[in-house]
Amino acid sequence: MLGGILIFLGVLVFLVVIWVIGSYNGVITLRNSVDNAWAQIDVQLTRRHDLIPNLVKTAKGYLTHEKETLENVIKARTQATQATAVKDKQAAENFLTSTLRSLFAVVERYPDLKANQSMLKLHEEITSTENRIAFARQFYNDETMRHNTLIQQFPVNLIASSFNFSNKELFEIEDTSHKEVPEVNL
Amino acid sequence: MAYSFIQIEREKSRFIFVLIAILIAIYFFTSWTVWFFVKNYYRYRFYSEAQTGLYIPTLIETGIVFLIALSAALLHFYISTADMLVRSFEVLGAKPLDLNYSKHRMLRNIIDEVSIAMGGVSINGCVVNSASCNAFTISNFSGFAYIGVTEGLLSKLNRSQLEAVIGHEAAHIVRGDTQIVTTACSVFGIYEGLMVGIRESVLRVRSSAALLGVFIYLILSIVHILNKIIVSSISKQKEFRADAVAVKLTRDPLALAQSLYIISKRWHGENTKVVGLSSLFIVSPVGSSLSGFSTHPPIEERIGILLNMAHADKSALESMVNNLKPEIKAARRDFKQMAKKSKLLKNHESWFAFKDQSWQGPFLFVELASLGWLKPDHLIRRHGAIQAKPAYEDSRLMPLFRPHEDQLHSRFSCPYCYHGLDATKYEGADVYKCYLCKGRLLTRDELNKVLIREDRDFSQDIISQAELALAEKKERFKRIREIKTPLVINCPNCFRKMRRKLFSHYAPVEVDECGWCASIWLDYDELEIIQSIYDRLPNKDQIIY
Repeated sequence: MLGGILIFLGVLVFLVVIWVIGSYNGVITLRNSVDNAWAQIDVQLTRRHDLIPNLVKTAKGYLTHEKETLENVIKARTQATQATAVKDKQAAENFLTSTLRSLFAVVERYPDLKANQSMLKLHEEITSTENRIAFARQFYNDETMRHNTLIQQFPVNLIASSFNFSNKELFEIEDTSHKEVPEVNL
Repeated sequence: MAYSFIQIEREKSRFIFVLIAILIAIYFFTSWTVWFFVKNYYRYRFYSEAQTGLYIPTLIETGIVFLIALSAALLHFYISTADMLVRSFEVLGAKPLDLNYSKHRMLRNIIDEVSIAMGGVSINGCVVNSASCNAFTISNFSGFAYIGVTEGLLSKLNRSQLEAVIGHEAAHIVRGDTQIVTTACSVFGIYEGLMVGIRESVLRVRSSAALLGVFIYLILSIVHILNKIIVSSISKQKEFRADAVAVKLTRDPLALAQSLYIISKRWHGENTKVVGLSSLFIVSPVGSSLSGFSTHPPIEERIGILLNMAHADKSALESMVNNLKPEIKAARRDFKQMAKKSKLLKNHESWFAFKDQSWQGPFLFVELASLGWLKPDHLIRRHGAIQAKPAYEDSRLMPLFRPHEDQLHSRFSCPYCYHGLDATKYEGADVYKCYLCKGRLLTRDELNKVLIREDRDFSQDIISQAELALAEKKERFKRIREIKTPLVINCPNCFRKMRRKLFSHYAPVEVDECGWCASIWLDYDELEIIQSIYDRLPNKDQIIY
């Protein structure tokens, strides 16, 4: 009888240990996947930073009256390269995106610059990089959401709390064009 | 994603198992039947009095036949999948991307973007130099995956539409469909080719050997139908799923609906030699005769689902797609109006040169360049002008006297001026240009690339010359037939005589073509004239292969 109970308990403990190891490994896999996704975003952000000096150089000759726009882009780039924390980085990158957008809006007004071969190339590269950042962020957020959901759900949350697994931050975008409330004049 | 990688792998290996089993069954059935007939035939022939009745092969014989069938099937599977990427590339005529051309660079970028969205899958790109509108994927067992797009599609879609198409194709790669379909196609593709060959030879040979041909043909037909059933069963549902993944990635169902709509309204490459590989494409390039056996779900159904997602209806789609390229539409409209106005064309420029106490000429620029004796201080006079002046004062003639740097390094020399031709790019295609007479040398392949791409507008002069060519079509054909010496210049590539001919039935422009190496020599402006004529043909994509 006692032997039966012991065997039963032994099996139970064994199963629990197996489950703990499995869940722990599952969380670790997801966490690494999230880290990898974050590294991907970083690669693309660096790619964008590398493209900007060329862009400014090409545009400078044409945009003699638009010094402010160009300076804004350079300033935003400097801020973005210096930021280290996730929150700062997000803010700096969002600012850079908006300055780039306004630069391209200005370029639209200069047909010569718009038709310039190296400008066309750079425009395509920057458009592509923006898309890459967007897609990398999309992937990062998907993975982060899976990670966070997993460690918050019962019973994995018991393991997560005992091993100090914490929630990962989502990379949020402040797209001002969507959030601005239009002014209404009655 | 709800679909795990383990599941995908399991499905893939199960499918390959089924494929090999089918192969073994086919070989076993065929060889058993052949053995059965041969044995009975010989018994009937040589022992007709002694034994009657059918002979059924014994168990040992069947076992031997099975072993032979097994090894044949495995050998077949091994050989057909060993280099399936290379062979698919050959059959499809796919080429690597040329990153100097803007559209190809864009395609490369889009593929990279989509692979990032998929979590960093490695995907390569390639293009097919065809005017048809289609896209496909191929991959092999080691995970090398390619997305291919035709030049025609590349010139018709904008960035977001192309991104949707690439998203769809990438979904196929990630879910493992591509690997399965490429395997099935390369294993069964042999049969499709065999069927065509046997059908032709049976029609030609009318003897007892034809009977064997008919028998094999029947078996191949069964294989063919089996293949169709397998491929259609695996690919129909997957098209819908891939559409869904593409929408999930790009968050733009309308762009995918638009691109499917554009593709559906165009030529998909029917009558090209991709019969065995049709299920690799986004839209089947083989006309669907039986809807049950078609490898793809009806395109209207797919568009309908996508439009539902985008909360739009079909009329909006049609107007949107038709309005996509207003500048090209406007150019075509102007073309017609202007052609009515301008009947008169200015003559080609020509010059008289003063030599040996008399005026000689008139010479065209090309002829002047090849004269050899013209020096900068020779007196020249433009056709129609009264005043004469030294040649160095005429800006148009200046290039004649300037030494040319590339001359010594050039691969080819101009057939008229004998100067080296410069390797240049025209709409991303490799073109060799003479800096003196502005004549151009290109191969048929490169010329097709130029004709498919619609990257440039044309000047009024070009358009009116094109209109003139079309108006004079009959006379030009008559004139070219009456030319007594159609072989005038030597091919810069292979030095054989080039034949003077009209470019095509659609574009009656005189060109020189080499019958050996398919190089084409085009004089000043002729390329643009041909291009402008082709750009306004309504069914352009079906004319250029």
